[in-house]
Amino acid sequence: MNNRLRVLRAERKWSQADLAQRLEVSRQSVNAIETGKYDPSLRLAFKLAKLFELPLEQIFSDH
Amino acid sequence: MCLPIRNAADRRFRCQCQIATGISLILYVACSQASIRIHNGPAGLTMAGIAGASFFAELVSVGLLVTRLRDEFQRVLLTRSFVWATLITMALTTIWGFVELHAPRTVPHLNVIWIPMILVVVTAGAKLFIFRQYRPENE
Repeated sequence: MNNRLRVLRAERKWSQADLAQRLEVSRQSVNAIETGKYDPSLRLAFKLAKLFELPLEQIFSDH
Repeated sequence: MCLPIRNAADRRFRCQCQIATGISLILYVACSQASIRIHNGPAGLTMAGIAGASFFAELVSVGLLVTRLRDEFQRVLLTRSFVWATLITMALTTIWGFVELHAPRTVPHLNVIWIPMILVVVTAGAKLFIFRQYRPENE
């Protein structure tokens, strides 16, 4: 699964640590999601969508 | 191994679990060694009972850590480490058992008491290896 996390984060000038703090996870987790090594659960995906104020499909895609 | 956990509740909970694991490990080693030396009577049985209970407590604290961590990715990595450690420990001790059975002079007898210790050491190694694989690069 692909995601636009890095782009969205850069648009807001957030570091991985900033995003991790907002999501209450480790930077390791944010890095793993960004690099596609880990697909987040629905709970975390919705948390991301809420944080970026975007629908899920604008953050994640399956191609 | 220190995990870079941002969440304060997770960090506190991880510390509590690590303290519980440390205490139960010390109790396990002390009581299992004492029970080897005290062969008979209620004192030996009590020591063996405390050793068994402390190993159980160690497994419970590890289980709680794995199930209650809020950071799901850390949870996945921890679970992966424990599964690998359990498999490796079981494989190693099974092989050792067969070698002992078929070629008793080649290896010394491995007392069952050491298996939890082997599990702890292998778990530490597995955690180190797995967490290093996912170490975040610099931004």
